[in-house]
Amino acid sequence: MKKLALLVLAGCLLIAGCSGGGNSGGTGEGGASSPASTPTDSGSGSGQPVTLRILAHWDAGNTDALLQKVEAYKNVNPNVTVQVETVPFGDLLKRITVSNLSGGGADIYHIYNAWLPELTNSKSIVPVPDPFKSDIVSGYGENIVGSVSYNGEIYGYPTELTGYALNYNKRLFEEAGISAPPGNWDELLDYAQRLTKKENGQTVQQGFGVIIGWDSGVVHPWLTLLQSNGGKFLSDDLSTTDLNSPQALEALELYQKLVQSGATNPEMGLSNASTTGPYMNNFELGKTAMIIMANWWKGSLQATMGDRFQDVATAPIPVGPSGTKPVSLFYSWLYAVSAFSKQQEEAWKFLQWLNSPQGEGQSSVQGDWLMAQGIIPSRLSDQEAHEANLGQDPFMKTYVDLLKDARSFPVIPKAAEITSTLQGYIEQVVYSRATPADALNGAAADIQKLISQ
Amino acid sequence: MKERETNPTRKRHKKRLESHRLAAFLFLSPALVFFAIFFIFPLVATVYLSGREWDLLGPALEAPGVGFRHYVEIWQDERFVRALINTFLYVLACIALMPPLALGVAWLLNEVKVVPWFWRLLFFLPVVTSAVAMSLVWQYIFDPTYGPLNEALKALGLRPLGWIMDPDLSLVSLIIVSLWQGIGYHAIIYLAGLQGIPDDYYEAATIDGAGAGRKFFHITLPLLKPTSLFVFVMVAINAFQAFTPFYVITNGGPIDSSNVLGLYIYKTAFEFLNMGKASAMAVIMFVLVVLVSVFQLKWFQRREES
Amino acid sequence: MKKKSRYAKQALLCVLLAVFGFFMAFPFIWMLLSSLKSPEEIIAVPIVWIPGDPKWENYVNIWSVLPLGRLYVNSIITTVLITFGILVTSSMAGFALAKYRFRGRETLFVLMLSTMMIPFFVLFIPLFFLVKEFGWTNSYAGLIVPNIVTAFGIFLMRQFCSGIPDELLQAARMDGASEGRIYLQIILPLQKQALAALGIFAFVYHWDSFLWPLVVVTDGTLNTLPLGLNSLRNAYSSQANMNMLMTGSALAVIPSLIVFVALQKYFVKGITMTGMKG
Repeated sequence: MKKLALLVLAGCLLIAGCSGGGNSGGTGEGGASSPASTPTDSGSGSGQPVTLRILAHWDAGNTDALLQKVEAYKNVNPNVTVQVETVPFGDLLKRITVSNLSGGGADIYHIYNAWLPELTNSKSIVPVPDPFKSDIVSGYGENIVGSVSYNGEIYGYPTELTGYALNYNKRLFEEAGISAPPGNWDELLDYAQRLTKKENGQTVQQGFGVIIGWDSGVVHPWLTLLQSNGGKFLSDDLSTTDLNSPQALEALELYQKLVQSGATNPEMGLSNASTTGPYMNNFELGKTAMIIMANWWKGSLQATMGDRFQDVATAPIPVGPSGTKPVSLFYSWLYAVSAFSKQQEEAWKFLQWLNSPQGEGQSSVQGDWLMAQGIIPSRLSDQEAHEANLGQDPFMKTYVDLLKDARSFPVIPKAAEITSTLQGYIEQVVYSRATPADALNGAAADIQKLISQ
Repeated sequence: MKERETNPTRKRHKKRLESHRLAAFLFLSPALVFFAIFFIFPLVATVYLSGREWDLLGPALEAPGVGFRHYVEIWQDERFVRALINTFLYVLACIALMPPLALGVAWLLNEVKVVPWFWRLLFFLPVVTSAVAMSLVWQYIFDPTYGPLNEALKALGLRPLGWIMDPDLSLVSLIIVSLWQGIGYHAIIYLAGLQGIPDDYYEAATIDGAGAGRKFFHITLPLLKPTSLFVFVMVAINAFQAFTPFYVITNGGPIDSSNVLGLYIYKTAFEFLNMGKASAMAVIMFVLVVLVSVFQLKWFQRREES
Repeated sequence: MKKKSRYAKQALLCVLLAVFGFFMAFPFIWMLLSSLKSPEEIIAVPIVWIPGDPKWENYVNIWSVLPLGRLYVNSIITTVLITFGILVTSSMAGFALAKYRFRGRETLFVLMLSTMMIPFFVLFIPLFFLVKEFGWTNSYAGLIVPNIVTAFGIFLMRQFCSGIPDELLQAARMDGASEGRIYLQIILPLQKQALAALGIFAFVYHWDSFLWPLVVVTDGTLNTLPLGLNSLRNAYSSQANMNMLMTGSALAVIPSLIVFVALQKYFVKGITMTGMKG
């Protein structure tokens, strides 16, 4: 009995005292540490070695490419080393959360602009300090700067731009005897029906594809249609929804008509942020004739379609009966600096170098890196430096042209929940579970509630 | 005379009981210490957070208090109610289908004498492979346009179904995935239980002239009660918290038809950044699961006594 | 006559098991086949069942795409230690809850059970805060210690222990054995099957564990296999890496399969209860 007692006690002590090997990442502060909001200088000019850590969601190949390009920064600032830590997109925000809890993590975050309200309200990132602010204001288009700002403050260097445009399959159009992409909704509806083929009641080719099951994937393309119909998602001051409008009703009725005529088959629309899924596969294999999609899937399209990528063309968003011109939607990513970073000054200096032209009329390192991936750089000088490529690439040219009039997805708190709510109502219409009018009323009410909170 | 004899016996008895209690305490102490540190604190923290408004990013201790507001607002949230209903349907289906199927498979695995390890391995494969990778494969299998499942239906001359893209079938599809994942897992547990039943009991029954059916219902099932209790309770607990297949395959869709509590709590916390509301829902889920488990425990206890 | 019907019975069993087993194994077989495909074959439609030109080199390339050696080492160390901890603590606690009578026993049991009733992703934030206070972030301790006790294991062992006849224990006590000896020499051997089952489950579950390591590990050196594999899941190159993901997943499965095959042989009916009959 005594032996047993001793044994168990020893076991408990062992377990309790097991703080093993390994370094602790904690700073020893309590979890309620509040970060400094003014940049702290850790002696950049004194030659002390500095390591800047970037947190991003890029894949290994692209990360290596960037790190190679960034070696050149050693010529400017030899004591600075840059490291990149990557996590899958779905875990990026979680990692930032955990970093905040432990009082520090990466110095630079590459973030989605929709997260700005929450990241700024929680003081996780710092506004751009003065010398760099004018660099950003002069280097980027006004709507782009707006998309990385919140409550009157700018929060970082914009990087990738994602816009939406109509993607269509030229070969399928030829087979159906259609010579040009639809410019308005009547044509869209008409062509979509002509491009639909059924066999034994099964759709083997759908005219116009919509995404199901992924919040941004459902909402963003629909918003481009709404906006190209002269409608607006939110009022300009972002305080109310503008969904209870005839333009919005027409936009939902468009979806209803597409579905009811069989030109859109929701069951072909599975997709999510991590995998392209059947929605894209259907387009790649010529089972879907038209989609409204973002530019960042160009790489996947090319890889999957190979030679058949020549069949793909892009066009502006078709204009609705109440609209005058195509108005697309965009969102952006940005480099922001963590409020917990002890090297904020160094971080901003590096970011400025990364995003500035390497020479007269040349692209920035960031611009080169983005173009290699088929992504539109947001810096005006980069767009000019790569004008030839961007202009010659017919696929990208449409997106670049649309950017001038495009509207940013609103940067407001609870953007994720609002998107998810709107997704539900759009899906109800696509699955014929609700009339457009009812869906719109429900969406407007729910979203208004979320905005007012 | 009698008293002098019973006193030492009683003393010895008492000493034995005390040493038993001490032994029990010592056997339990590592677990108790562990739970005290690694469970009670987070549980209390969750309850605390359910009364706050916290977006996960700012300092937790400075989050403003909102009292019971979250507990009130979730009942007004259609999506929460929908998720609750879906969860109950899913749990009921799992409880009804999983244990019998697992027991059936376990019985087969127990009886087969030809390379038994191979069959066991076959049924255990779903458990061993990464849940995420397998969910991706199932997403593909169930896809209405490409999936092999619909191809098979068409080949048999049947009408292909919408499966995960059909609001009426999405939950059914996920139940199938869960059954696939869990049968092998619970069959192993039943197998261990079946192996623990001595052959003597069956031999004695054969001598008495009992057939296979009677042996099963009068020997196997009753002796498997502790195992069955375990399986039923674990199936329920896991079903209430189901997450990975729902997240990867349908993400709760279409139109929230496969949104379940686990998924909705996750979204509310990590996508909508509303940790207070998510904590409140987690507390509700906790209470529900405790109630269901206690109910199951009592039910099995009553059966044992009869 | 008897022999024939036995063969027939075994044959029937094998057929049944093969049919159901095929459904069980199908997604796994699909994963294996996909691990040998080229990126184009993975997303091709109509489905490519068997790769035309099996890319065995995927299994070589994966080692340069991911630091598989280190991932394996980290996964093995953490999973083995966690499994050991779970076996020890569950065996003792399950035994105590099943075979000792004390006031509040059932309540304690239900309380322990309740630890499984909150989804982990709710608990992990306060848990992380705790681990950070102990100084265990980015360390083996942080990966292992919060996992060494589980109510699942205690529950399983309690159920199995409740089937052990009390007479066995009483007989030993009459002979003057201490509780410790009873545990080591009587209970433990009888728990063999249950411990084997629990060992399998604990190992397999923690081998695939993703969320907690994601949060605890802050620099890549302590990455476990799931963390490493997940870096392949990325939207920009999802197609190109899908086959690598399948290859990686196939390789990740091997240790779990080995553990299963090794431990399942303890599911052998045997000497357990027959001693009592005499």
